[in-house]
Amino acid sequence: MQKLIRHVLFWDISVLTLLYAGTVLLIKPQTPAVFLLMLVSLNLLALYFRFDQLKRYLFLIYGVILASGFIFSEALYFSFPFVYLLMKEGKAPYSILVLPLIIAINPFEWTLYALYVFAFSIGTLVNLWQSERMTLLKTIDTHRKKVFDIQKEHTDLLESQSEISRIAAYNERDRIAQKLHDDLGHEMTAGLLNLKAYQNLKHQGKEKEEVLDIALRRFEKAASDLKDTVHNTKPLIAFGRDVFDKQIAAFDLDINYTKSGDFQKIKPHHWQILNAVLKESLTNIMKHSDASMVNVLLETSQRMIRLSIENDRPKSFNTHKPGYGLSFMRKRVEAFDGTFSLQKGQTFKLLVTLPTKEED
Amino acid sequence: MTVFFELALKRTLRQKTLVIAMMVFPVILATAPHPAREAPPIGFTLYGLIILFSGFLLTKQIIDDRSYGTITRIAAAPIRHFEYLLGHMGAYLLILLIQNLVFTVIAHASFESLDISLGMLFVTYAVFSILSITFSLFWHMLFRTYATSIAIYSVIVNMVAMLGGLIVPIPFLPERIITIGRILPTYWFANAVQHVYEGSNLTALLSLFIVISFAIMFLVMGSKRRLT
Repeated sequence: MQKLIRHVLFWDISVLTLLYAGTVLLIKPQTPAVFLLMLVSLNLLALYFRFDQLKRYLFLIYGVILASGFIFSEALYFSFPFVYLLMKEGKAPYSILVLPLIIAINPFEWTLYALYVFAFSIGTLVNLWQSERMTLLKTIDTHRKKVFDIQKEHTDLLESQSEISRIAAYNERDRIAQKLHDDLGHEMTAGLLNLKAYQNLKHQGKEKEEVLDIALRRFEKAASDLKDTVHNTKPLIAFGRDVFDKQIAAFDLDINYTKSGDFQKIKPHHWQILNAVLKESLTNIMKHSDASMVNVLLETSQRMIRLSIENDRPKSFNTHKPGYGLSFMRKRVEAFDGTFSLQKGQTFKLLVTLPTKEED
Repeated sequence: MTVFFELALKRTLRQKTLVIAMMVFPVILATAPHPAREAPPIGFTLYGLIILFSGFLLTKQIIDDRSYGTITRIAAAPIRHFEYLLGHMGAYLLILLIQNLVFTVIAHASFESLDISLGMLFVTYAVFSILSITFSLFWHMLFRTYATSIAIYSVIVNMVAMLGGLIVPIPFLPERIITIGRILPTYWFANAVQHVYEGSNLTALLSLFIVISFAIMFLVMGSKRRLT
């Protein structure tokens, strides 16, 4: 019932029914002509509600009914439903037109004024209600658009993250290649030239120990540069697999952690996602379950990485609505062309797959 | 025309029992007795009830189309809703007109001495047939399944027929019932039949205009496309 009374059509039908019922009781249409007039007005109303295109001609319909008032004075009664509709649409000046006709045709019939006031006031109230409703709907629409824009930006960010990690990998590769070429490559080439020079001098019987020393120093320098390059490539803070392992070790419950496959295939940005998924899942297990057992499986194959996190005794998962954590995880995984699925039953299982095959 | 012939007419004519029943009942009613001189023979107004039920049974296809999901397929086909509606209503009207013709001719022959205008009688039934179809269309729009629709329809229509003067002729109806009956299309149909019987054809036409107005109103409300 509450839903029904919030619908404007309910009020339209109620007011129009009241107006027609009042009219029938007051004028008691006996002659077929008046009855026909009432039916015509009802037909016009039905057409008005049925075809949206006719709504703009409401004033014309109203005019026709008013004009027929000069032939049948009862027609004035049938104009009140249109007064209500005109008021509802905020066209107050038109609705007043019936008053001079009442005064001209039947000025002492108070019921005409009473019905007019009823139609006018209810129409005004419905109009005010509708305007307020439209303003609220507009606000809701604006907010909905904002949320949509934010979600879109969010998706774009996640998509660009994948691109950024790829670019970062290329940059790092370039830096290492440059370092190897500029420092290590130069020193080794110079050392090699020194060794060749020493070899030539030895064939000529003019061998010099200093040339060999220089070559040795060059190779020592190259070896030192190589160490530095490797040292600089490895990050200072824990990253990737270290973080994953640390999270499992630091968790309060015992975790049955199984791993298999070649972990070299897991790229840094994959680790970033896997770590985020693990962190969110472990937090969820603590918050939303009475788990006594947690199984974590991480495996890599030729084409994909598969992470499964399973716990027993999920707590009231049917009543608990999925929060932002899971949906955010899903978005992150899907941004990297992965899949994210949940299995609910005696246990709660989360399964994430990520493709390892990427363009180099 | 495809809708008219293939979708509506052929499908209806396949229901042989319905078609036979539609032709047998009018023949029985057309020869019904004429007990009082103030009113037309019993069959003349009672036939209105047959028209109401015939229209309802014919338009069954429309509600079936909806409940079996056929309407969704039709909506996907290059057929406009207007064509669908016009084709169906045209086909049903054609069948009802044939039924009316059978009744009018037999009734006229049975009561030749009464000197009733054959043309006006046919027009009266034709107009009421339009009302019957549009009312059934509107009625079907209110329900999802045919079973619910017919269960309530048969009760309501019998009441409407009683109040409107189809079962008891208007001259024998109490004044209070006539007051209520005036808001029903059946009253104006019975009124038209009464005037045709009395020979005042112009007054009968006015009543038929009222019936047409009712028909338009039901058509406007019932023609809205519903897919479920």
